[in-house]
Parts: sequence; structure tokens; C-alpha cells
Amino acid sequence: MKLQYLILFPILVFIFTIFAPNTSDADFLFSPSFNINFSTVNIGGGQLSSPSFGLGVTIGQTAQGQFGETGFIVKAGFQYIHPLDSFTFTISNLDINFGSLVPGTPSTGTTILSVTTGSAFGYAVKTIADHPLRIINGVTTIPNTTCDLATPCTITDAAVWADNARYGFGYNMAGDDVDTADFVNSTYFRPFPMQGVDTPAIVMSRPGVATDSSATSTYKVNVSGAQAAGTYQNNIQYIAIPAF
Amino acid sequence: MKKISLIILAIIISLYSLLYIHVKNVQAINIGLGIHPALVKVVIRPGKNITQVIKIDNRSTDNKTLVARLVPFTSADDFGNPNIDPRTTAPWLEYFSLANSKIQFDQPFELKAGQSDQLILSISIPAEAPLGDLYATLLVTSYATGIDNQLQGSALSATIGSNLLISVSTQGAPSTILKITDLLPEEGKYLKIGDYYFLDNITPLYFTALAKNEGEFTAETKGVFRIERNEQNPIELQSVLPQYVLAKSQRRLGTISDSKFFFTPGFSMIGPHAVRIDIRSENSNASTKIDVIFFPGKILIGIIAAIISK
Repeated sequence: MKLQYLILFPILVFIFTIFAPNTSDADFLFSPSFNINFSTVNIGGGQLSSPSFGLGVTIGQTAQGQFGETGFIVKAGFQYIHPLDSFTFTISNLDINFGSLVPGTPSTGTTILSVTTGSAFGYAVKTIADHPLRIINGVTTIPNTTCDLATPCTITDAAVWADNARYGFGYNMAGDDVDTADFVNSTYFRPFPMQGVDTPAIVMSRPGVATDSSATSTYKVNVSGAQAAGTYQNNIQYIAIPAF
Repeated sequence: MKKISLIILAIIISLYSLLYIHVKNVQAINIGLGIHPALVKVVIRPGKNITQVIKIDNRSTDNKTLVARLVPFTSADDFGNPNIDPRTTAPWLEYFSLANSKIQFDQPFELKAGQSDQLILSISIPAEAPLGDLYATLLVTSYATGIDNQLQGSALSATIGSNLLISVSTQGAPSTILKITDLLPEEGKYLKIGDYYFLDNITPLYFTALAKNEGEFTAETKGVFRIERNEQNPIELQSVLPQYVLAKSQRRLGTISDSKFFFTPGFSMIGPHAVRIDIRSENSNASTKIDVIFFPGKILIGIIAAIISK
């Protein structure tokens, strides 16, 4: 008996699936993002709306006359969101001062990066350093971290750096739009890419609109007892670019 | 008595002054920059020139010295991020200049706290310039002549950018070759038999798709994502987010809220349907469709499990 049911049900469902009657016409169109009021369901003009945005759809031939007369067409900003706001980028603190460094005892500093894309599609913040932390008027440097021996890190792959016997300089990221698969927690660090050698590394990114996305960058330096005394410095640049 | 009052007053003023100076000294130096518009798309005929104003805001608490420069970029990924290497240059960068009297590329200029300034970008295309696309980012960087000798650590600087997509063309809407590929339901949510995708009719679904531009000019992705029982009966319509697809690149299609198309089938939605994306813009037409069959898979599994367990 059970075997009969097992055979019968899939056959019935299959027949029902293939030969099911047409569903009713769609005179009420909606999506999670928009209510759509098209006069027709073909591609064409219409007014789309959501609680956040109004969207004017323009499809078809435009601007040919303008181009013919002037020889150029300019579209500034993004067609789909009004009004157009500025793309903004903020760094809360421009000086990361570690003070006196104690061998074998890591020193840390933090700053907060914030991005608002306005009407842009998305964005990425990248970072690059001019050189490793370098003694003033000298060539001695504090090396970039390679993280713990068992968990080596690179400029694009963070890894655990918890061993105080591992020396160097690196950073951790936490907060909005940070790749948490890479910066898993506060023990994960990366070395900074170096200008002239590497390309900038992404520290924050988002494919869509961002409003005051904020992330904390934590800088960590740990020196050995053999590190020459002096003041060590470098410049770290953050580059915030909207998507196109 | 009067002398004591004066002494107390002097102490209070001194303490207040010390506190004020102390607080002022520990206030962090920050930077906030704004740029508008963040994207400029231009189609221009060889031999023509235009100017475009780009506004820079200094949202910091103090005056900033800034430097503007232009670097070429390429497409970095499927999400429209530019790949920028500040060391890169190109001969066509000579087409661009700043028409400001006091601000030039690669020269520092000061912007007061809370103030804005305009960069007047001049684009002058030589008559003999080759037809094709030029992609550049206008970068504005905070500039410092040196780092404080007392600082043991890192001095940070900020760079912000605005993307320029320039098509040098003799046509207002230069032709492109746009294709929509990889229109697929969410990985792991379908069973494919032949050309048909079998999907459960009570499970929320994502569909993804790519727009590939095989042409020489930037394409746009204005259009519609639809699910239909037949061509006369669409049961779901979503506007495809208008995006630019650079020449010889691809871009993930989506809506304004996601880089996917989200759809929840109905309980009564059973049988063959079509999932279709149509792109119709000034210079590119593209369309693709996949055939799907919605069926009550989860319900069926539940019934079978119940029968077996009897």
C-alpha cells in the first residue's frame, strides 16, 4: 500500500505541475523594493516609488538632438535617485600616536572611518602606506607584521597576531562594510601595502548605497628589545572611491 | 575680604584657562571631505570641449590643504568599483585640465573648514583623437608638508574621488554590444533537468545575472526583470537598476536595494513560467530568458516523509 502511495503522489504532482491552469493576471504588481505603476507591462516609461526613493524611468531614444547641436552630452550623477548628495569620507583622527614603545608589549591606536555614498552605487575604501614605520632621518624601520608564525598574514589576508614575541606593525578593521570573513575578530591583522611596491588594499566596501557606514581601524605595533631607539613614523593614505 | 574674593576669582579663571587649553590640546585632528557629483558621464565628439563643475566640501574642523589629480582606471569587479593605481598615467590625460584661476592639477590649494570650492574640469578632445572610451577618477587628497617630529606612529591622509566616464564618439548614443548572461536561480535552490529549472513554490528565491559589454563604448542597463506565466501575464516586475557597464567588462545586474532579484513564489504558483530580463537603453538592447517550473517540492517531501513514517 505504501509503495502505491509513493508512486502515485509524485505522478500526480508532476501532472498537476505541468498542466496546471494559468494563474490570474497581474494587475497588482509589487516587489520588496517598489510598487510599480506601469500603464502597460511592456518596457516603457513609468513612475516607481518606495518609502525611500522616487524613481523616474526613462527608456528610449533621447538626447540625439542635443548631441547633434552641441557635440556633447553630459550626465552628472546617478539617474535613479533624487536629490543628488555628495559622496563623503571622514577620518576621525589623523595622528596615530603610540607614544613610547615598550619591547614585547604591543601599543595600539584607533581611528574611525566613515562613508556616505549619497546617490552613488556603492564604494570601496582602500589603504596604502608610504613606507614601513621608519626612524626620523634614518633608514631603520619597524617591519610590517607577518602575524603569528602559525598564521601568516598578507596585505590582503588577515590572520591572528596574538604572540607578543612576534614583532611588527599592522592593522585590524571592525565595523560596517568590513570583510568579516577576513577580519574575523580583533586578533586578526594585516600589514599595510607599500607605495611603489603594492596596490592599495580594500578595507571597507559595499555594493549598494551607504549612509554613514563607520568602521574602526586599530593599529598595532610591537618591537623587540633590539629595535633601535628613536621616533618612528610613516604616512598612511585612505582612498575612498564611489562605484560608477 | 575684597582681596580674598579677587584671589578666588583669579584661581577660578586660571583653572578654567588651564582646563580649556588642556581640552583644546587633546582634541583629535580629523578630516571630512565631500565631492559632488561622484559620477560624470560624457559623450563628446572629437574636436569639442566642455567644462564640468565638481564641488569639493571641507567638512573638517580645521582648514585643509588639498591636491587634485586625475588617474585612469579600469573595472575592478562586477560591482562597478574602479581599479585605481595612483602611479598610472595615460597620454589622453592631457585632454583634461582645471579652468580654475588658482587651482591646478597636482598643486596644493587650501580649503577653509566648513567651506566648499569648485573644481572647473575642462575636457578638450582633439579633432584627431581616436574614438573610444576614457575612464578616469578625479582624486582630491589631503596634503601635508611633513609629519610632526613628536609623533611616534602614523600620520593619516584622506583621498576622495569622482569617476569620469568619457565616450569620444561621433554619435550621441554610440553603439555597444550588450549581452545578459548567467541568469540563474540561487545556487542550491534548484534542480535542473534539460533546459528547465525546477524550483520550490514556497521558498523565497534570488536570481542573479550579469550584463557583459563586448562593445567599445559604455552601455547602460535600464530595463525590467520579470517573471511571467506567459508573455501576456507577468506576475512579477522589478526595475533593473540603471548602471553603467564599461567597454569590454561585465557587471552584476540588480535592483536599487540589492545586486540580486528577490522573489517569493506563491502557494498557488505551480507549473511552467519564464524568468526574463530585458534591457532597452539608448545604445544597447539585450534580452535573456530561462524556463522554470514551480512545484510544491517541500510539501511533496513532507507528504512522502509522513507516508513512510506511518
